[in-house]
Amino acid sequence: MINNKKVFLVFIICFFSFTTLALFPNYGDKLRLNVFFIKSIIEKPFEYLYSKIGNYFDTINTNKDYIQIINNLESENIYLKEVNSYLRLITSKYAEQYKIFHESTIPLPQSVGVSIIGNRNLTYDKSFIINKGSNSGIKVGDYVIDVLNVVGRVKSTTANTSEVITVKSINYGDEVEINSRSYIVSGTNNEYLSFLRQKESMDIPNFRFGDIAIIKKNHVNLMLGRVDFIDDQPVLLTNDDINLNNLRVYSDD
Amino acid sequence: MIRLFFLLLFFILYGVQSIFLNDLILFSLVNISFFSILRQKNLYLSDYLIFICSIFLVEIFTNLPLFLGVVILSLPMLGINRLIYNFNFNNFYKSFVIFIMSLLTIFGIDKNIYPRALSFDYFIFFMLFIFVFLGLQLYGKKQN
Repeated sequence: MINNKKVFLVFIICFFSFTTLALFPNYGDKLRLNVFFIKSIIEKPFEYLYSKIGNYFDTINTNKDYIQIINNLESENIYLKEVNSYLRLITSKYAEQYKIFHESTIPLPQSVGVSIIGNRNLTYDKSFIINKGSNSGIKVGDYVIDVLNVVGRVKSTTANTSEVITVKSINYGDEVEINSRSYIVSGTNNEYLSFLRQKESMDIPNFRFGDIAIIKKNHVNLMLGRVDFIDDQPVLLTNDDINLNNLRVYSDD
Repeated sequence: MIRLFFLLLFFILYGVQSIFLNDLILFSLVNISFFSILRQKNLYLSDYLIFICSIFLVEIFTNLPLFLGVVILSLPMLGINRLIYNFNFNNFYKSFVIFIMSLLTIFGIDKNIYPRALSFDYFIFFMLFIFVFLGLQLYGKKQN
């Protein structure tokens, strides 16, 4: 049946590789991340060609429509610039006041823009791979956000890629604040998170429909979801309207 | 060589397009792996390496433990190989066995595929493949 000793040798190597990776799962994660990094490199020329060809046909087909849209946008842009200058004028007063009271400028959160290079559809696992890693300052535990909505947290990193578990994953857990009280929540592999317990308190939680759960950080409050009820049990509904093309990794340093 | 080309193609294509295409890519990878083991009575190193590569890609894409498929599937597949070639089945039945085993494997990997499998998109894909196959079988020979 097997007429080749090399086949048996390869099987033995695979067997020992499997046992090694099963005993040390961290190496398996690193290997997986590196494979997706190689995939993203191989994809780049094809993506470039695809975008060029797509842009070429788009410009041919929709040139007239775009001219009309550009005209409308230009007029809207002028109006928005006027509004913006007015708002800047108003907020400058508050910035000055903040500077007087806090003796420093308003702190801005540090974040890095990222894009997804693996498991974008979240089909088999509620996690995905992003195209930046420790070289870009990303660390394990950093939050991945869309505007201020939490999408997930960084699970593991390599030099150029990172794995992110989403808030929907059963492996996700976090401390949130609702009505100035802290709770521990966990993902369920569904569209909602479940409450595990209230932190450092024995009081019965008093939730109301629509209460917002936030994660307090040094410079910004991140939003995780809203309170809802399923069979009279409180759960935390996550925001489904998330733009996966607009992700940032927020580092709380 | 054709299988290696398809492995590279699937490696690039996975995750780029729709979720239905991702499922079909995984199904094709499983098909390639089973075909590599069952295509001949004697198992050669090149076929076995292609089997390992395709199973490895499936494990990478579906976040399964790496090399699990190679360890678990190798011996049962060799047993099925022995069974098929001892009974000297027709090629149609060999292909059918590969198809059914791949189908069972892909359903085993992910339970969420059950509702997706009823989608009309799959029907279109399968009809396309069937008509291409029938067209080549009926009119391909005339070209020669």
